[in-house]
Amino acid sequence: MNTDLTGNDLPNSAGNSRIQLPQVAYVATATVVLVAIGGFLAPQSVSLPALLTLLPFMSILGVAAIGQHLVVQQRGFDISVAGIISLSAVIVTNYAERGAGAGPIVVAVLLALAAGAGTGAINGFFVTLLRVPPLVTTIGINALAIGVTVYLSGGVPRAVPDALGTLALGRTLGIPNTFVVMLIIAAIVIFVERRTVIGRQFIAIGTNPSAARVLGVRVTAYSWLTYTAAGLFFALAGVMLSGFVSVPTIMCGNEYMLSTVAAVVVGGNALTGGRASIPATILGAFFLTYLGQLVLSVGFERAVQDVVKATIIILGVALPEIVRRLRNR
Amino acid sequence: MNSAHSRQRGTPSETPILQLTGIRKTYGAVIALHGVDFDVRSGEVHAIVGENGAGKSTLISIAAGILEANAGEIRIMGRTVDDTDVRAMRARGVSVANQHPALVPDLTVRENLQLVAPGIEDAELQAMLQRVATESLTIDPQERVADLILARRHVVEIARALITRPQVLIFDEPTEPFQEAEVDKLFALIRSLRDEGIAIVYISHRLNEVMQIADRISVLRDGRLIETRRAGEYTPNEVVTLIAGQPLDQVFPPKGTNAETSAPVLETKELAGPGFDGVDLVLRAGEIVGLTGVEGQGQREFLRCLAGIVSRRSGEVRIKGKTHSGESVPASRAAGFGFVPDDRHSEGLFLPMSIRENIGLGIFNRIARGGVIDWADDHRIGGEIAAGLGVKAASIETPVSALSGGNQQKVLIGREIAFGPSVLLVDEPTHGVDIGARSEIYRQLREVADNGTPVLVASSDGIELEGLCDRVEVFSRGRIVQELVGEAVSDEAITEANLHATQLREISGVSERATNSDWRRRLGDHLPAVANLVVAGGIMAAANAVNPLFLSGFNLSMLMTFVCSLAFISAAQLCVMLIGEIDLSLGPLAGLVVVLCSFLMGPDQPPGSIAIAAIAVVLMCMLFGLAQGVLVELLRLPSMVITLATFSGIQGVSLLLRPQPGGRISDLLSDAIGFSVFGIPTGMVAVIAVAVVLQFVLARSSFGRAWRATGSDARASHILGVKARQVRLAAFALAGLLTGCGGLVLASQVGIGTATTGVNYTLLGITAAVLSGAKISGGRGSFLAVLASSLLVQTIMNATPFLRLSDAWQYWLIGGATLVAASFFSLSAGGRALVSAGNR
Repeated sequence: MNTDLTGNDLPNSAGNSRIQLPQVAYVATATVVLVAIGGFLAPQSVSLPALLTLLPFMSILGVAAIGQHLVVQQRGFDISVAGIISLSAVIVTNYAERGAGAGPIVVAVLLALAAGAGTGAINGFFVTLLRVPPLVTTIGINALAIGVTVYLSGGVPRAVPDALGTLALGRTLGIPNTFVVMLIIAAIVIFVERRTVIGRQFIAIGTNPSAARVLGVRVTAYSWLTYTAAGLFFALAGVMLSGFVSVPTIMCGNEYMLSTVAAVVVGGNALTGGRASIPATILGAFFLTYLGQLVLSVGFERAVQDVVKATIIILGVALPEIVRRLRNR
Repeated sequence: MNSAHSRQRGTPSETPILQLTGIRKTYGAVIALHGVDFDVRSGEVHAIVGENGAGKSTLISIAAGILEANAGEIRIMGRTVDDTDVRAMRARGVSVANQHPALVPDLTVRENLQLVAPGIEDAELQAMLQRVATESLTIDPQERVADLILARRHVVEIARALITRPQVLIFDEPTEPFQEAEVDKLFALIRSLRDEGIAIVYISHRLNEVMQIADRISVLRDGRLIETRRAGEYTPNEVVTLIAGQPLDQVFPPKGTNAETSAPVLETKELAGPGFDGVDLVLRAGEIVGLTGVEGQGQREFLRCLAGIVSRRSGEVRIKGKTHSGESVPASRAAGFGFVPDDRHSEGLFLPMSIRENIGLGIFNRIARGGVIDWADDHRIGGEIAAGLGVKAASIETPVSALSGGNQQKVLIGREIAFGPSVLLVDEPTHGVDIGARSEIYRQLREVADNGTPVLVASSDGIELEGLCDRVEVFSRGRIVQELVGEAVSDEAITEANLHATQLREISGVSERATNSDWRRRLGDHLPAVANLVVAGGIMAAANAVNPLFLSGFNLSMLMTFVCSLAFISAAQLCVMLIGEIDLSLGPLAGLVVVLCSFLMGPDQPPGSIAIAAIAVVLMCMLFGLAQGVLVELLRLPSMVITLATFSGIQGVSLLLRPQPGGRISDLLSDAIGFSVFGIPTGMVAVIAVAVVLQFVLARSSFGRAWRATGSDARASHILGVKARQVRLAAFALAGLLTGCGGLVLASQVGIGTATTGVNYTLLGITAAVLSGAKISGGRGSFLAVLASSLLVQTIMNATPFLRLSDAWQYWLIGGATLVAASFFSLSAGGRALVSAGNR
């Protein structure tokens, strides 16, 4: 029996008797199991140096996945993550010379971030004001962004400024800088979501936009802001990626289309909006990055990664549903 | 003996046609029906009365097979029924005219009727509509339901229920949108049906109508059937007391005393907005004022206008002497309006969020400073409010979804009280709230009023208004036409006032326009196809002007094969788009076909084995599409995510099979597909034939109707008994099959196994489907238009080099075309949607 707010005893009911594990616990468990399997199949993959080399990849995916996470929480979907990452990478390599100093690099990075946020804002414009479904909007914008990328680069990949590369590859107190960036972004987003009026209203819109509107929350503005913020995070991921790989390819963003969604899904977040956990999405990003690495270290080809990721996503959305149905039997 | 016995029976007969025994229905922890017994006999009208949320709709949904009971037995003509789905119950003669018409908006009236009566003759269909229609509400069977005003939809709904020639006909609040003359006509219809021996169940909250038409009355309260009697044995007052569960003075707190003398808190002068006009109202401290009227007379819009949700056209609002001119919710809240919306699930609460978070969302003025929430205040104040209202929950961290309806409503009202309003606006204070919580809510509202905050309540429940309000304003045609004060505030007087007030007929501009111009509607359906052809022609002319080689035989035949493969793939996309889904994996799937062909169709293969390989590959694609459909349908997973995953999965498989391009594909394939018949390649002939056949199936067959119906409105389709699952699985399988065909054409083009051939076709296919004018949310589309838009897309792709444009332009033109077309169709559909929303 529970005691309720008024001091009366309540019978246990289905709604409140089951102990609710935090969402992040499930993905954490899955990650531990995966790392254990990894340690068994390829012991070197769980060594500290190996994990440290993994962190930058995971951090880049993590930053992009936070952007996708925000859009999904607002019942949206953003395909243009691919185009925005590619675009920002090309902007960084095109607007700063190889030997550029701090000034031009900062300008190029700001330009890339602005392009990302701007592209996101255009997504928001189509989704909110013209009411084009998010999927169609971001597919169209993605094509436009890739067009700009092709146009700017002329189809030729270039190298990033050495200084940026050094920064992206560098470590602070033994921790990769990219990881530090991701932690900062995550901390900001988590603080805003949990402790501010903006965050509470943002979550409220995700769970019930009509009710938010009736309470005077400016749903359209939030939605627009969400796509803009997502574009900004995608661009940041693109900058980090370009610095890390030093010669980013024209289509370097393509794989993030799937993997950002995958990180959100593996984190156990509903794709129908509403409650979602940033730590879970970040763990999802780690899970996927480690899995990709494991597939390679066991000796498979790169293409196998795609197949494995696809399987993981389908299992990630299907298993909870199957378990729920079996439980309801 | 048996026949002698039956002859002794009077009319109505004694054998129930439909008998429900011990029907129990639960939703999680909430019990909607606690073992209800109910029956209806041939030739009688059996009315069910009860408050909102008493379980009336749940009960009849179970009788009609729309919902499944957790326990209990359904008997028809004395025989127990085991399979209680909609179709089975309808086949046994149970039919419902629903409160919210279960009609599919994108289908015409005729098609909607054909969904339940497939083989019906047109004359019979017309006769049925004639029988139900009234002079002011005539029906054209060619019209799309989306274009009908609500009252006409109700007429169609009743015809739809009748057309299957039921033995048991259930009317759920049938008179809601009708005027007096139409109510009379409906009653005449009901009486004649009864005299034909049909058993009729009649549900209404309008007590006087029930007393007029019913032979027997059953009272339902809090999910229990309280009692059933012959109508003549009740006085209206007895029924009222039975519905409320106890004498009214025990449910409601004593009324206010000295409101007339206190200062006005809220004054509106000549306030006008959508649905209401010239409303003058004064609210004084200490009073609770009710707003009533038949549905749609502007009372709710007036309330929502004060809340800032509905915009104001003209007029003045003064609150505590200060003019309030804001037109947004934040402005209204700042001025001191608290608002409790009618539907707490859709507009009031955030179900997955906790009690504390829900309350906090309304009272940032008390728990946040500088945009940052004070953790301690948030918890303390949330706890105080919940406890003060007697919300029964384990803790304030309990998600609101786990609470009973009554407790949810307490949280919602508590939030608005805690906000500290100057005026509290409440739309339907006790919808679906059990009797205990209801008393508590009435007590709270009275306490708010006694503390000096006037309360304005809109309610369709006469008993509630009688018990709660000091004064009731009756709305008609958007204006206050009568005021009831003091002793005059009674259920009877309110009903009387409502019925005799002339009512507002919704503006019916849309349907009138459509009725007059059948040809315009037809043209509208084919406009996208024509537009695509015109633009494609223009681009061809431009490209040819720049470079005459564009219209050369070689380039044209190349263009045609490209169009052919895309047309297959975009037709496939349309198959799933029609049911409101999307398939991102179609491109890579077509690419996989190319790779498979490079293994199975080597140059040394004989024609026979190439044909077998082609069939096998296409069948594999169909099975793959079906498998995706199974994941989406049976597990209810989002198609976007599933197919995004398979997009990359299939791509991976293709790359594993052909890491580098390799494996020549036999020329026999390209010879077969490119074989020219009067200058047109066979592939093209095939895709045109397929499009024509599919279009015919979609437009004319019962499968096609079901196909569009499930995409247009899943809920209505379910109630109509459309076999949605089969149809949707078939759509996915068909998409796979068509993609397989498209893949074969691609294979004949490239002639070598290349893993990446298909990738771009996902985007191109979606672009073509969007350009064809298909509704992305499902329900409408044309395979012929997809042919035209495929031509346009491939013309753009093919013409860019001729127009000396760089590679980037291909992306820009395709992306731009997608966005422009999607925005255009969204805006034009948006206009329509706004009008029909106004009719709601």
